[in-house]
Amino acid sequence: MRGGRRLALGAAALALAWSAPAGAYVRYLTDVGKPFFWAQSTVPITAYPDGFTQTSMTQAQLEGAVTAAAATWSAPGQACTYLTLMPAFGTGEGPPAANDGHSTVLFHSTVWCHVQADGTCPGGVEYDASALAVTTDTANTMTGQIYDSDVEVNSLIYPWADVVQDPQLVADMDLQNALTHELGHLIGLDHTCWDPLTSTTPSRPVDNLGNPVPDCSNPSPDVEATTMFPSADAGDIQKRDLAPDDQNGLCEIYNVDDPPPQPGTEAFGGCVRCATGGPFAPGALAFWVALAALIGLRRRARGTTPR
Amino acid sequence: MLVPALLLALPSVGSASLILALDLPTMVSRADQISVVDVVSVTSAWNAAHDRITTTIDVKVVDSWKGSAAPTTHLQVVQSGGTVGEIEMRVDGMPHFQVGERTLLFLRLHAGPDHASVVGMAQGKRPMTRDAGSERWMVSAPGRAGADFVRTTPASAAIFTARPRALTDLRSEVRALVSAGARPAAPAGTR
Repeated sequence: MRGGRRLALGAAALALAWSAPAGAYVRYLTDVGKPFFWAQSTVPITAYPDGFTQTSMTQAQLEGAVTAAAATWSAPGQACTYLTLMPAFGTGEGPPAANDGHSTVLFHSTVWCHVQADGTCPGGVEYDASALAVTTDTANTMTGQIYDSDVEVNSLIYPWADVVQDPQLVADMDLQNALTHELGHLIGLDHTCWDPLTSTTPSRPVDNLGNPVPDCSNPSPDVEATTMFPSADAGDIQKRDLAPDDQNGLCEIYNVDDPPPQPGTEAFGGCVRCATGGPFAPGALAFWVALAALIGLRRRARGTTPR
Repeated sequence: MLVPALLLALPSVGSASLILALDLPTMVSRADQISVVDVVSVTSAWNAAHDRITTTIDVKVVDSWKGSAAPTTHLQVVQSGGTVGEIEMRVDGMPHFQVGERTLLFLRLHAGPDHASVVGMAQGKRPMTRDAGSERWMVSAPGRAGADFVRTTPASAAIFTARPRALTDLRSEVRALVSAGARPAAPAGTR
């Protein structure tokens, strides 16, 4: 009897430990609840460094920041994934950020707005001066497949730097740090915490393990250390490298052993098994195992047997 | 050519933006107009090239704490993103508006007649609710609207976790800041 009790307690403890949120990540969902994903294994991203006119970074540093941020989320550096963000560098200031199927990183140093082809702002309306970068992704609502993502960097107002190579510029924003975070969104990851006022998710989301996403106002150190935590300080370089939670998201959504399905097939839709938790997600399953074990203990203590 | 055209015909949009967290004195300083408003209409439309959506929000001023717009004046808030048909273009960090809601806005006026944009993006729209017990209007913390906010000082991020406060209290603080000489925002960018 005591052995059975120990066994049940052990099972409960094991299951609860299994449900701990280590390695948890959160995915962007479309309006109809489909997780965002890229259907191809290689995502070309063209950056236009000519638009960056600050002297705080050399051209080599800027291209290095884009390249390193892309590599952080890519094979072969991340051996667990097939995904490759493939940076290229164009000339000129680049095309307008638009739903055109070409993902870009644009630097605006003369006007801070959605620059049109003629170099003006639509209706004379600019982006707000407090915005350091504005990102727009385009996806199919019904499948979650991402088509386009454009990152516009405000190099008109804010100084950007490579804070690792130039630590004296620690009061500036580290470009690689910011881009690594933004590219996490580009591959379909959401923030690792939730703010009840966030308008993009009306109810508290769950992570890949089926656990409620923690509050942004009271995050654990592990959550705050993630690349996908939604705030940063000037000079912050912590987001340059993936935390275990971030890496787990990349590795499960774009797992090297689960290559992208072909368009037109039923499986077209990325890793649907690891999407957003649910009653049979690993974390939820652990909860049910633990609950069953505890109920069994209580019934044994009362001398009852299940009907 | 047809295939990409069809692919581009269905999308919705999700995104993230990186925004400086602003404290209240900075918000007051950067705003040309600070008003309690009622949202009258929200209209989204494609641009001429049919590759970007812009939303125009018509608001009616209820009370002004800074600026020249008198009660009943209408202002047009214009911002990137929106939804037209099945296509949603979401620029994270842009505040969301609902017809009929009353809200506090920190606005920057533009060259167009009565055209404005929200200061600090999502930070410049403060939701208002009427307290059931006291029936006082309360002002809530702004929504993040999916954006990432950069802390400049500990106080600059506190705006997002602040508890709802009475509208009258906030009005007194804002008017004091205005009276103390908070200058209109220095021209940023190319305004």
